[in-house]
Amino acid sequence: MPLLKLDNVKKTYHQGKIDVPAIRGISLEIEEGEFTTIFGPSGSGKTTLLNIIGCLDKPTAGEIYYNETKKLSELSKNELSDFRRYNLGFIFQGHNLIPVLTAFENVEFAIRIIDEMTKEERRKKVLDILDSVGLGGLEDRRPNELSGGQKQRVAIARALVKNPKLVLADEPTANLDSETSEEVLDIMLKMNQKLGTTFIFSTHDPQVMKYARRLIEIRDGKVTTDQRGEDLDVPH
Amino acid sequence: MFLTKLAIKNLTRHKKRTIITALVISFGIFIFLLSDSLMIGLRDISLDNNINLETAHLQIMEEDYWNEKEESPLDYLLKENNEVINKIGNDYSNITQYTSRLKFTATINNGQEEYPITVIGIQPQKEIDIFELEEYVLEGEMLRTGKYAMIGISLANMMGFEIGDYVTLLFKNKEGTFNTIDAELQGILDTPNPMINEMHVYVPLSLAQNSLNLENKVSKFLFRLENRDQSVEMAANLNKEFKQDNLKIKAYHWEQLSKEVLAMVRQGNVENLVMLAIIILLATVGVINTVILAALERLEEIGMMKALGLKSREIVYIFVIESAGIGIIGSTIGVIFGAIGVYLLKNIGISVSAMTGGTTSFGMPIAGRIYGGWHPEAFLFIFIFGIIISTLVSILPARWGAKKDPVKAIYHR
Repeated sequence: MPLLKLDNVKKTYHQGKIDVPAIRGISLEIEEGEFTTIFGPSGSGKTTLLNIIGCLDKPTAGEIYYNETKKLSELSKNELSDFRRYNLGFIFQGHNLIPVLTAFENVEFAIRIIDEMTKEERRKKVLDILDSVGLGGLEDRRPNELSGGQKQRVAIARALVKNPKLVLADEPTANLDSETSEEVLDIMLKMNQKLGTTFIFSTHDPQVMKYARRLIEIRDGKVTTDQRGEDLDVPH
Repeated sequence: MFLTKLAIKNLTRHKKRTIITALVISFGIFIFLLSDSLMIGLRDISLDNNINLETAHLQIMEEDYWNEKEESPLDYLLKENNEVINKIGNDYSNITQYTSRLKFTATINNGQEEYPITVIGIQPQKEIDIFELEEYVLEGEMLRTGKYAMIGISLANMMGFEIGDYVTLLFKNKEGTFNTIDAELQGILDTPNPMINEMHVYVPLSLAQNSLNLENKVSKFLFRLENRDQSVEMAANLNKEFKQDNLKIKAYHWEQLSKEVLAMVRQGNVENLVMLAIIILLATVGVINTVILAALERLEEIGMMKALGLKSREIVYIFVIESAGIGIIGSTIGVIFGAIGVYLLKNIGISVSAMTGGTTSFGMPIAGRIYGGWHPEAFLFIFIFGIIISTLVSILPARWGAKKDPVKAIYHR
């Protein structure tokens, strides 16, 4: 059973009287535990597709099924918020950390709003995940006291701390140097293998694509190639 | 709780902006508290001055005289040796002293010019027990029985009178015949009531009665009670008795006698409402500006929080709590500075002439210095008011920020 199923999803933006199609009918199935990269040139629709999968944007047409049964188009705004709160993790290009909170508090944010754990459980969970992403001992630092790579690791920890079914990462290494990018991707891959979390991330960097276990190419809002397996044909 | 903590931490993001917005609110609160204190001080001083120098606690006069009292008529007068009044004086143990006055209009003349004034015939010895005129004798001494007069400092300066000079008062008696009183100036008063200083001439009651051919007649009786709170009930009881006995006289309590002062106090309350409106305006502009700026600066964060699953109302809550925090800081600073200001106003006071250039006293019976009054309820009210207003006015801009499309917020579109 696929975790996520997209059925002929379309998205058209309206700029004045002009309709600009961003997604032109994509059908996809994402299995649980997959480590998927969506790649394509700028403006191909990668980010729009991620936003639609993440329930941040609504498709103009088509349907998205979660666990085959839940139709995301039928959920209200509040239900979508709850869906994101409990099931999804996000990693953005700009880490989007809250500057007045420490690394610990930024990560804790994601589980505080779920409120299912005791204070001690929460503390252990946050410290464990920070340790997993290599930030053990830096939990009391504020974002302005962390490097770009460290900030992105905090963002990864924040996305993973609530054990989401699906993590969406929009060009998570775009603002990082190649060495730090590899470190971040290593962590994501490790978490995918360790926790079984499903990852979908977008990129147009071939260096990043080599980490993928599934590679989906998008051009002009359509899926042009979809490869699975260990030995993928990564474009140069 | 976590969102509350986050909101409080957000106050430290732009400390200067937080402090400036809070100071704007605190300035409004400070001004309100000073204004309120001043109005209380003005009211208390005005009422005290009125009671201690002009009205006493209770007066009895004919109802028709009351209706025309502004003209100080020579009609509707009462007998000085009045059995009813003497009985009241004996029956009511809370009356500490009572006296009678005869009031009429005249002009004062210094040989070169004349000026309209009000002459008040008084019983000097009894006046001392009821009023504080003697305390305000600046030159000379308190009026004695004889052909003497006592006037206020402003009138003395204006007409060029000095102690020992003869003042000439020109007036018409009840029959419409002109008459004069030539009296030696025995005392010059400098009271806190500018009206007395400028408009009143005191002469012995007997001199006034003889000159007006009104032997044994007075305009009214004035009573000093143990305290002014007894006045209202006593006036009501007396009026019931007067009605039962079919008497034309009526008792008037201090609030009726100080109607003009109380009207000015009400005017002062309107001014306080204006101050409240100014505070609302200051808080509204300051807080809305701050919340909109914060929302614009934190668009990416708002988008991220929505992506994490926060609902719009939870984001509104963060902004509203921040604004409440600004309100608490502003109200606290305003109340602290307000308390200092009110303390100084109460203990040092402020010179009326310094405030007004010496030309007016807001129409109230006040001269010299005004002292503020404590009004703890005003502190509590304005503290809570400041917080509530800054919280309420933040809701709309917070909703504006929270309703931003998460995608547009994250990608700054």
